[in-house]
Amino acid sequence: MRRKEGALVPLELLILEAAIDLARRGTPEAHGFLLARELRDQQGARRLTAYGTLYKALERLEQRGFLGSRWEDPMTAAEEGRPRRRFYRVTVVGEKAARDARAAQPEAGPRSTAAAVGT
Amino acid sequence: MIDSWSVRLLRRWVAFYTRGLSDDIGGRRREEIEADLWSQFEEATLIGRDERSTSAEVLVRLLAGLPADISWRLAHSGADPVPSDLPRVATSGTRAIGIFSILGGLGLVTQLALYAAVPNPWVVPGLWLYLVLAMFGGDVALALAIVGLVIRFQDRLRGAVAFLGSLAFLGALLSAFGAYFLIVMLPVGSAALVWNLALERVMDRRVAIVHIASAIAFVSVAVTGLTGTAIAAAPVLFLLLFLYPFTWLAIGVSMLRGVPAEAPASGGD
Repeated sequence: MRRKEGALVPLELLILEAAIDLARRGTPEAHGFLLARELRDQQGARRLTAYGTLYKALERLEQRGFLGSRWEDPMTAAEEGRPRRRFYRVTVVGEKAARDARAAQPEAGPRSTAAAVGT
Repeated sequence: MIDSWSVRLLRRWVAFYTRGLSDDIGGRRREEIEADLWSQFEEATLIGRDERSTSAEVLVRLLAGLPADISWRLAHSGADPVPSDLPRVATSGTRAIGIFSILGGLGLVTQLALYAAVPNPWVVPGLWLYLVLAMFGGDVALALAIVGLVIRFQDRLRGAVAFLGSLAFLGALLSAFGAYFLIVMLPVGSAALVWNLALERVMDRRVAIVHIASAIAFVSVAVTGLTGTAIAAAPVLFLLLFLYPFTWLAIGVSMLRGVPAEAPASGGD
């Protein structure tokens, strides 16, 4: 999909909304897989967002200031015997961008862009 | 912990496309994918999903993300999209490459269309002739397009890429004369060539992304023969594979229009 200058593509909007939803439900920070799972569950999709698509979108959102991120404490990961995760949280600017983007496309309805999740 | 073939493939792919990048960029991507994989298999264990099915899902996620991975890597290598308003310089050399690319792309499109329309076009009277023409003409044209790119842009190609390009030339040429299995050398070499030329801003980054992703699908289909778990990923593979000849058409049109003035070609025509 060709991006309009400054606009959020559907997947970016869905990621922001998923992160906002998770924060409202008590998870202020989410790692990549958790966001992919949230997207899949919200969309009723059969599969998770592709690795390349997901992490490229997360990086783009972070570069634009819509997400902040940090590595988790390596000790925590080591204690649980798994690789360390990078946690993302929505910024104030990101929340506003998501609200504006959703308001600009009322006909699409909330979280109806299932096709954006899979690829 | 996780050691299925698709996970090994994913790790190799991630190591390949992040090679040479700083730890901040490449290392971060590798670590995030590792953490994602771990969580994916953890979830599968929790819900009682078998490893084979999870491995297939890993493969699908890998394949569907190929264009994004290539685009990401090209962006981090400084290969910005070529502005459409840049003046272009067309020479007889670039025009010849363009014509051969278009003929080769049309040959491949015809082959795919014939196989899609008729299960076995070889037994249909009259049709086999078109197939032979498309295969022979298409392969020879692509061989000439590739050798043209290697010669025309030789001062911009890395040694390994020029070598792979030469192998692609040989593969396409020999397959036209019956050594069909050598056709696998075509997408390998063309992907390397197009990657290099996109980094040099000779080719459009978007065309390069689709070309490389479709070349990977081409190789996957040729090597695996779509058996076993790979079948689960077949729709994605076939979608990507069908784009391969169309990217040759795009390369052909681009060469006919000429090389962006910022990246003038050297060497004779």
